[in-house]
Amino acid sequence: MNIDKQLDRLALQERQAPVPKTSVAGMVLQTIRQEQVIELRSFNRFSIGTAVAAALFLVVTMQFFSARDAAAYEPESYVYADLDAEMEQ
Amino acid sequence: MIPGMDKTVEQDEQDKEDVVSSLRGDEEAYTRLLRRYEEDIARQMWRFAHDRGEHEILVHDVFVEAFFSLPKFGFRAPFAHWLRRIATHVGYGFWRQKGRGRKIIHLQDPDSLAGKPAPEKTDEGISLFGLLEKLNPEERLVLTLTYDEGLNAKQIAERMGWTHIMTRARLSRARKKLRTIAENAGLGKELS
Repeated sequence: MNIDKQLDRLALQERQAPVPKTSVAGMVLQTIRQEQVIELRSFNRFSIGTAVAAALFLVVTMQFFSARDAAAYEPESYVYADLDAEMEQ
Repeated sequence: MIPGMDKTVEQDEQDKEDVVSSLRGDEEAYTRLLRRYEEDIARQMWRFAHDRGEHEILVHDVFVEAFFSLPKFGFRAPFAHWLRRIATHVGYGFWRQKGRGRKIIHLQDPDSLAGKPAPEKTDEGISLFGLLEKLNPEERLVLTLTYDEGLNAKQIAERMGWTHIMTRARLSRARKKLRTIAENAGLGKELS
């Protein structure tokens, strides 16, 4: 008998060998519930984090534009100051 | 046809109904699916681990993985085939992790599963499982799928998402290595 046939015979023996029975239903459902809780918590953390980041971004953006607006008026005040000086003369 | 998985059309319909209900959060429906296929999956996972504790954890992992993959099921193939595919990937991942020497972390305590009696030896000292254990995970997988499920290179490639050429090369290399390992184990001399 060549080695390939012997390997085939071993494979057949293993296919026909009894397999231990398992009973995992309870464990599986428990793990699924745990994973779902973990997923929900991480989603909540993500949502809170996103909301905080968005609020911070909004505040910083508003401050940036308000500061820019003030600077934009500055040259005009110089112009008016110059005009006032000319008028006084 | 895949042995042990020759489900009737009626069973396919039941599977579809249970999958839909499971997706809606019906735990009982998923339990029905689990009980329907637990024996088939246990048989399949026995090829990946002959330690009873590891075997039970693998069966557990297949059904957890399947539950979270249900939204991707798509109803294109029978549930049994889809589940078998997931089981193969779980088993292959187990071998790869084991090969890297990493401790596999599970939510359940594996210690609670340890201490169960070891399985009986099926052969006169040499088992195919023992010979295949000496190969790397890729080679071991292609031969396990060939010997135990009768898949050819094309079918293995489809199941694993590998290219056909790569799978054929792996299969050929694995066969050569297995012959050498078997000869070194005295298989040729023993029965010739």
